Amino acid sequence: MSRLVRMYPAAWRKRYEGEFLALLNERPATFADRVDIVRGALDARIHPQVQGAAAPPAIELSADDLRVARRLGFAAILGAAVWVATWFVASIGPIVYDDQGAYRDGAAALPLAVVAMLLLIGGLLGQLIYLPGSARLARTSAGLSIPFLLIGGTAPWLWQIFLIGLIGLVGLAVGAAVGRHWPILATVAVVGGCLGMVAIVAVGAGAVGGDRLAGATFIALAATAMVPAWLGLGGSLVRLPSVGDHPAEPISPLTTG
Amino acid sequence: MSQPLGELGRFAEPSLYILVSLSDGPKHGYAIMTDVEEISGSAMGPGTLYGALARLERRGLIEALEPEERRRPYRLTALGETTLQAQLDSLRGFVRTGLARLEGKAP
Repeated sequence: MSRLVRMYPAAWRKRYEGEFLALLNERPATFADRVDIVRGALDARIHPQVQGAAAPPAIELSADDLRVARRLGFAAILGAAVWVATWFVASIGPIVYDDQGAYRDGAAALPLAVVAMLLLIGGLLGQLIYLPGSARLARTSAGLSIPFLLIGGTAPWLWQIFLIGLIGLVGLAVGAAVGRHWPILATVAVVGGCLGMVAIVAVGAGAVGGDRLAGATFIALAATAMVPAWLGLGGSLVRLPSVGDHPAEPISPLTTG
Repeated sequence: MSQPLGELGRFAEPSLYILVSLSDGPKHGYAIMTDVEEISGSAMGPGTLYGALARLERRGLIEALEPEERRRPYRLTALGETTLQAQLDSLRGFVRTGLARLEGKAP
């Protein structure tokens, strides 16, 4: 049980842990209680009520770093548009016939896919500039996802590699939310986009069977479902104050109530 | 002067139950939980209880007393009493209106 309680932020534990554990000793926790504790821990991290945890950690960014991070955020958002274009081009490619039937040749979309992935990776690099060293989960996940997204995103048949890249994106979003470096909306967009894509592929794989033409349509749909992830990733950087507004102020990433 | 509980989001209802529970004297976490279960007929999870307690304490509606062993009792503050009174008055008006309308529709 104390493992669950360790999910609460340090300031909360300092104030409430003793009495909270005493309560749990008096009343053995049910499964529903355990779920409730996890929800409570997330809430305590997202909406801290205890003095000392109310302010998110301030991050010192130089003006140059701030400028670069914001620009990379815009790059990621632009990448979302290129990603949509990629799958549009792929979905109108010529139909080719081989000994296994018909399929759509999406090779013309490959350069667009590369550009889109590079722009997304630009956003990930922006996160590595913006996120402090203490955000270990988020930074590690961002770094991990870069090679996997680059390889898997430009070679759809290597879907296992792409999946690892998506897991990295989810880790980045969760880690950034837990450390209060991202607004919750950005995390929801990234996690929702990644899970949405995986869900559509999973459903589509069962629905279309061996029909490669229909399968390509499902993959295009699934890839497009990932767009919120790009917007969340880029948006969390774009919302940083412009250098002209706050030339020497430490950046305080969130103001939640 | 009182504070609206609506701003507490999903913790508004648990907070109201906690204020009612503390209205007859200080209680620690476990006593609040069992009392709320009696009042409401459903259990309140420990995460929800402490999420609500932290919000009420931060807003000055309750205050923590000296711990008894590891258990720490809480009691209503003056602001908490005023807020609870305002909430209950509002609910009384709501109930009265609802009942009157139901009775008006009865055959």
